[in-house]
Amino acid sequence: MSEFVTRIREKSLKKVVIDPVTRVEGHGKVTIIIDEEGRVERTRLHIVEFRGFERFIQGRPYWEAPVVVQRLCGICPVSHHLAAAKAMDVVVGVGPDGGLSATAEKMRRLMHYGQMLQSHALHFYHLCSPDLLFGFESDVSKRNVLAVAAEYPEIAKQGILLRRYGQEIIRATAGKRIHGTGAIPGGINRHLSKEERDGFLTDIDQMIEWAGAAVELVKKVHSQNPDFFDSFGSFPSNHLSLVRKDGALDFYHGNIRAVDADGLKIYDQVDYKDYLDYIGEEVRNWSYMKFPFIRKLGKKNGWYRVGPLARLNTCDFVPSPLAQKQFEIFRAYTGGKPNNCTLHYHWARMIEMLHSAEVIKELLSDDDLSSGELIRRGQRVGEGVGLIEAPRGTLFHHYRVNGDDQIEMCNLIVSTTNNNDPMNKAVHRVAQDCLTGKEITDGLLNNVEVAIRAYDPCLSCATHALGQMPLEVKLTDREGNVISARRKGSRA
Amino acid sequence: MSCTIVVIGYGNPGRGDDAAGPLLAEKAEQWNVPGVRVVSDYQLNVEHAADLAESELALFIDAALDAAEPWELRPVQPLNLNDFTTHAMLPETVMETCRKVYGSPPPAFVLAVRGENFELGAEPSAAFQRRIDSAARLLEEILRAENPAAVCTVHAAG
Repeated sequence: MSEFVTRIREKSLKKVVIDPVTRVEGHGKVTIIIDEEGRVERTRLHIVEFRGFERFIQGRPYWEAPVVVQRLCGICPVSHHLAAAKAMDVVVGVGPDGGLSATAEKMRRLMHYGQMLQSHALHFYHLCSPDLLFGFESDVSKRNVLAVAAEYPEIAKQGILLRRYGQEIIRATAGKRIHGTGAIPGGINRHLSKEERDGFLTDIDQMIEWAGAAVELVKKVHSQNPDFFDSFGSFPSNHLSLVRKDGALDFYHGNIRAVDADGLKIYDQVDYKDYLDYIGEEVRNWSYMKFPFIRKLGKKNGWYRVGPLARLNTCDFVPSPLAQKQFEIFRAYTGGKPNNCTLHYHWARMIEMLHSAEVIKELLSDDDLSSGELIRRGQRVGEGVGLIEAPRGTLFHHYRVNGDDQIEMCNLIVSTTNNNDPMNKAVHRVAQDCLTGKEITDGLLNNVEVAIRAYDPCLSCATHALGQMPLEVKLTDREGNVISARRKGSRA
Repeated sequence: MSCTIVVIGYGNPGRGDDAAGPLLAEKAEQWNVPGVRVVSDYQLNVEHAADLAESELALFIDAALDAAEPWELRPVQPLNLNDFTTHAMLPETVMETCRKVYGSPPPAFVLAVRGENFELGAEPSAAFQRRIDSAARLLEEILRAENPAAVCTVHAAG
């Protein structure tokens, strides 16, 4: 840092860097590049860890993929588990449409909606609630879950128990929380016992009630300062997700739909096995994370958002009663057009959490979970694509398998990669609005974090023992000389 | 769901020595000691505060780059840290969350197994396996003891 300061003073240079982002998954670094007049010229959210996972999995037998891919991320391993299983269903000649047995599909759905519940609960109660409850400019000592636990213990407790409920659903359906084995190519390897089902049913109404209260809490906070919430880090964009054949919101399976900022359909009901014909991936030399784009619109205009906000912008309705009512309010707020407000990700995320709880209740009442056919097999083929709506957005898994059953090729587009361009644009917007002078202030640092965190990004895979998950922001000039730098260190 | 001891082993088994926590949790599960609940997870997080609230003693098991050879046992106290990321909490902050939400947490110790290689897909080394075997002997001694907290205190002091 002292070297930077010396250089800054000597040369009057112009660069801002925020590195790394706290309260997001992993490690992020932000660079803000300004011109001679101090105006924001470019911003960049760098991804500093190279995963190399696609090469790591080459040579492994295909049936290992649903378990091994969970090593990719300790935050949403269930998403990778299920996306890989869906791809391998195709490889073993089953699915994706109606190929699985009713038991297998419903068990997987229960696992996935349990994951949605716990992931959204974690993000809302423990990552973004400090911002919502204490304010975006609150003292740094309050910007964490411990402050929420101290001042709002009942809300903190609801968050803990919602998260735990979802985790227990995962354990019961996947077998364990770490490296679950529930989903296997062509099906599932267990039923849900009646004892487990009855235990979950005992608490599900409470979970639905708390999830509904969380939606109301977001709406209440929004109503206190709607102009701020609507404009913060916001910009028009395309949106992409899976939707069911009838246009319903569906996290587990569907076809690709993309809409533009006005709601006009760019793609609709695209079979995701053909995703390469519709989605391109651009590489830029300053980030390990690729930049996906809608081919029809090209690299410049084809970027899109995924995740809760995008899903509620692409779907026609939400197939559960309480969440549907909230969805109608959500859509009415923007006159039925797509909602392009970045902070409304939180609102959409809570509607999805409510929907997840409702779907879990419906599934738990289905006898197919505790009996019935577990696995099917068909004609083995050499290639499979599996897509799923992960908590953070659309997740693509694509594999080619050789005649010796080894994986030859793997291509993943993870949810956060889909949101790469939008996160960069959100940071750019915030930097334009908040940067004054040539120094990174606490306010700027916080606002950049808030903009990134709305997307709930997962920037690296899980390895807590190495311990450092910091945020760094740098302000630089066009030549890359650092003018100002701030770091929020954090040990995980 | 009340239990006497909760063992929380955490880490990513796909990352070499980071597997220490889950590996030892798996062994503890196999011993099936009455009154012991075993939790295995990738990372510590808020829901583990609820596990503490239901226990009289908590044992966190983790890999650590800076642990003594082959392992170290240390008591852990609730701590209000502002600089952590809540996607992956420390034992101290899980304890503090438990204190704020549920009241006094139980006494707790961290069993830190020395680790050196955390690369994706790395295989555990022979040295790491010896550390795991040694830590497993300690863990079994604690879980089967008449007074587990006292055994922890003795080893932590040593």
